[in-house]
Amino acid sequence: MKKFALVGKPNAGKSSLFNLLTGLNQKIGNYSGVTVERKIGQFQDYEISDLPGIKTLRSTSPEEKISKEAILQYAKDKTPILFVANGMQFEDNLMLFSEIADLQIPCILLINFKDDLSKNKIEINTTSLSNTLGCPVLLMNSRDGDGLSELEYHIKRDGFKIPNAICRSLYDSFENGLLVNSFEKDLAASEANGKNDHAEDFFKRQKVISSMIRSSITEIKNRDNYLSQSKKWDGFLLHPIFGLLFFLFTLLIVFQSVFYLSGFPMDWIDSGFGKLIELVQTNIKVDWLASLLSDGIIAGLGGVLIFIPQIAILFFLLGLLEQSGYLSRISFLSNRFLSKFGLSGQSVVPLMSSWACTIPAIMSTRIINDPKERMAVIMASPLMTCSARLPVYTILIALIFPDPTAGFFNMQGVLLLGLYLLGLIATLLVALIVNKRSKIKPNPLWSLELPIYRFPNWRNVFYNMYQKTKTFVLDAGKIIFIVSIILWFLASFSPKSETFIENEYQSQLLLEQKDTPISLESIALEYSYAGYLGKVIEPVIKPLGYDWKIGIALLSSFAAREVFVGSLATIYSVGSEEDALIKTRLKNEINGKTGQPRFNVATCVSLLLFYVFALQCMSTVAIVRRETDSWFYPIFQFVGMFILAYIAALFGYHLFL
Amino acid sequence: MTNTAFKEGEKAIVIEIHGTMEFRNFLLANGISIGTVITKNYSPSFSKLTNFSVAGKMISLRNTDFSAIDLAKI
Repeated sequence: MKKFALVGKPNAGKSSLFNLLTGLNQKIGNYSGVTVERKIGQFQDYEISDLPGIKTLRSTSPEEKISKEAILQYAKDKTPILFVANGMQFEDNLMLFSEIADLQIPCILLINFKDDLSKNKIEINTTSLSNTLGCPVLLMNSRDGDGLSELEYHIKRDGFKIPNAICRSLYDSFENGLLVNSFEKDLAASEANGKNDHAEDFFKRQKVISSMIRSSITEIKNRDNYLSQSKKWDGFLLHPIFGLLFFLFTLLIVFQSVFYLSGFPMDWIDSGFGKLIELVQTNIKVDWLASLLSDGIIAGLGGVLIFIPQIAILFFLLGLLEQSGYLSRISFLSNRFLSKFGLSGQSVVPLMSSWACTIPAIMSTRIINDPKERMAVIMASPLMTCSARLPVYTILIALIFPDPTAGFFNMQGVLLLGLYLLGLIATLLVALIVNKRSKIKPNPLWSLELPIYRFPNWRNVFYNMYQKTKTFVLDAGKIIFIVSIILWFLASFSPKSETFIENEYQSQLLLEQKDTPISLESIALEYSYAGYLGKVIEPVIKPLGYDWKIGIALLSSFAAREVFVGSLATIYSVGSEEDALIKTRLKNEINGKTGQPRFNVATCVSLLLFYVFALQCMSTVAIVRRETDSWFYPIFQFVGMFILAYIAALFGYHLFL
Repeated sequence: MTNTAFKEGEKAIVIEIHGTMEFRNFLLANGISIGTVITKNYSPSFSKLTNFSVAGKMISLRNTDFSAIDLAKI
């Protein structure tokens, strides 16, 4: 299969174009560093690679290293490059293009954001530029696909041409085998002899490119107007008082919306699963199969799928922030505050991405050019509240605040915001400790590019929301499906005989107290395999206010925290004669010893604190191992967070008891 | 010219860049070199950052790094 790659500076619209060509749905955002690894797709007979943005081939940052190495490989193989340039930053983008042109790689130069160019009355003479550069030059808008047919025509005709070399120095180095990984050594040599080869090369290129620009572009000064609208918005959004208030208001709106907007759809899903359980129990006559389906699989899946509306709303709102360009403003606003914890504004994108999922967030730490700060974010970001915690929080918050309204505020939403803030505080403190203790050499070089504000592309926002919610449902669904079956089996079968359980039931009936009703189902569950397993771990979890049933749910959620709710649903379905749904079951569950509700405020607070701090996600462990290239960090992180979670849960339980 | 003397909305030309070669090359990668014209956008005291426009981009640098760039008002 023929190949070509999308190459360009950060935030030039490469991923939008990749999605247009391949029909795939890579993440798109309005900030630098959205793509941090190579993505592969297919366009007709071509395999397309979407590379992370790169500023220069002399880059040394981790995500740019991927692109640099790939481009040098393309130079060897003569793999064509579709160079995507941001039309509004054209000279700057041509500097990188000139480096690629010098490597004599077949190219098409695509000038993106045609709409911005025409709005600002900037005309680019593509024919003249194409003649000067020696390769096709096309105009396009990757956001709406304007100009796509012309690009397709050129790709189909294999229109990639080797451009004229602009400044031969890089090419000569490459021919001599000096380019690969030699820049760092060059830098050291340059420092020693006081001669800056990079600067000399830069000025030569700049001179050639300036003359090209003069002959091909009509009005470059209009770019000031292009930025002026964004600057007006920044006057308010980066204001020392209004900017910070707006940021806090945005967060409040996000968390209030998660509860307010999701109420009705969650009720529909809840009653839908209730009806499905009824349907299964009425129509399936084989008892064990009906029980497996209704008490095991449907109860387990329903316990988690009910949270789809909340997760979708969270992803939707985060998508709006990403696409509008506001996320970079949050980086700007928070830079000084974060510096107190050894972090910078560059950490904001990975940290806020952790609210969706820690795995892409840890990968996006590659945009942080300080290795010490990057390690601090990798170690701390699993403490940020990811979407998998949302089902656990929601069900426990509903038990603490059965009636959520308190005037204008939804108290459930306020407590949720509090938990997110607790996660954030823990993240910052851990980052501070890692920064103080780490022996990694810091990189003092730092800059932050603010993109212009753009109206979010609704298609991308909705598709992003759909994709992420689907991933959550499928990933969690698979695990919950398997865990539900195992738990149902463990909770439904016993090493003891039915006669023994019946006798035990009869003897406990004689001792029954008014407030603690005994059922045959609960006795059977207590003597099941799950019951025995639960009793083994009960001494460890008892100080936290948990019984063995909660212990089983905790144990089953070690691989993925969202499994907790599904496991509770399965365990309490098997051990109950009622057909009530999970929330009602938990509310009605009574502590046999005290006669009080099992899920009282103290237990719920203890569980909430446990899930705020515990690292119960094997995928995160795997990604930390990959990004740090060591087992030490993920193991240290897992054990450390577990100890922290245990202490916090213990403290929380005794505080509210 | 100091950062304080360079007011928001004003334009200036880069006349000298101090600091290590690594820092100067880092600025080059961001499109900042001697002769570049920049416009100061904002430098709120709470952020300790200076944001300026250069070649169609809005870039922020730490105030300490920005002070290593000598500018002449135009």
